[in-house]
Amino acid sequence: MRDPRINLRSRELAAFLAFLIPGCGHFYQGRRLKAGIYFSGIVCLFFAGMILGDWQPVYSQVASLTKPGSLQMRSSDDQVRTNFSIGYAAQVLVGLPALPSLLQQSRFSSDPGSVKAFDGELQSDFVGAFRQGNVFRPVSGNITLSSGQGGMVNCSFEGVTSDGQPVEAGFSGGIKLGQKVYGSPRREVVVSSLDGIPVDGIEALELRGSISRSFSDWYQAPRDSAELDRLHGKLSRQFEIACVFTWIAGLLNLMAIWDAFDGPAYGYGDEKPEEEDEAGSSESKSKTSEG
Amino acid sequence: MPSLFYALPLAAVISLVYTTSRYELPSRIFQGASVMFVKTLFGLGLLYGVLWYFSS
Repeated sequence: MRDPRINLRSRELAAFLAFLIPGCGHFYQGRRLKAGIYFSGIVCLFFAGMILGDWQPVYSQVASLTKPGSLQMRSSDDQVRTNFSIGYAAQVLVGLPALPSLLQQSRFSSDPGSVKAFDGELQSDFVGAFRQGNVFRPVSGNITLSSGQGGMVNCSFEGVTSDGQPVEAGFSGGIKLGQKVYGSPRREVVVSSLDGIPVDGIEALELRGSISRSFSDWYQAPRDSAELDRLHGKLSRQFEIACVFTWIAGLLNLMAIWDAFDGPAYGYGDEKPEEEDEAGSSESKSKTSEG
Repeated sequence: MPSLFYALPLAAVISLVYTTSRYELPSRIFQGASVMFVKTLFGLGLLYGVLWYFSS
């Protein structure tokens, strides 16, 4: 029996608001202290997990190609297999903070794959290597890509080699850019030159590596096991702890939603134990006399 | 930071949110959350001690 001192107002609306934003349903009901506790506890726990996990512990799907190769660099004909992430079933209960993953899932499924031409100009940091056959020269720096004639791109690179030697290169060639929406902050890129690129003692034919991906294109987007392996390698146990934090935040909000819908599970909290025992025994006596 | 230290804020949040969902009276909420937090840490400490003993 619900305590009449607790005004739940519209229970369904309160539960929905509590789902969307932890504590919001209780704020709607005027239960401000509980709203503050739920909001601060659940939201802080969720975002603590996000920070620990490099903002990548929330994803609704893990995707994979049906053939060997990089998922980012797949062509539009390649088949992609997706599996639902079980952890997301708990994370989604946090509400709005975890819902972007569903939007990203939709964008990911409609993404045509790697890009071989683009318009305009693209500037980014770059990490990768110049390649000639099996010889690599690792470099890092800044890259500028602009559209050229006949589907080619003009590429300008400025940076340093792995032993600190400055490198500059400018050339035209074909480009293959990783798909736009993917759950990694790094976007793979390969720029192939028709002529050799003189770099650090070799005539490179290819610049291969990764550039920055826009936050809105990688945040909570589906990823493959290679990206998860990279995260585990980089963060180790911290990534597991981050995921656990976000799962528990979602499960705690489930209790908050229930509280908004049906009130506190044990009662107001000022019931005396003797009165509870007498109420329980009087109920059982009346049941036996009726039987 | 040792992994076990993450258990402290986690246990605190779980204790507080769980007890908040059980009661309405603020004093009862904070009292129950404190007791649950201490019991949780004690239980985790005991379990950790047992595991440490059998792994050494």
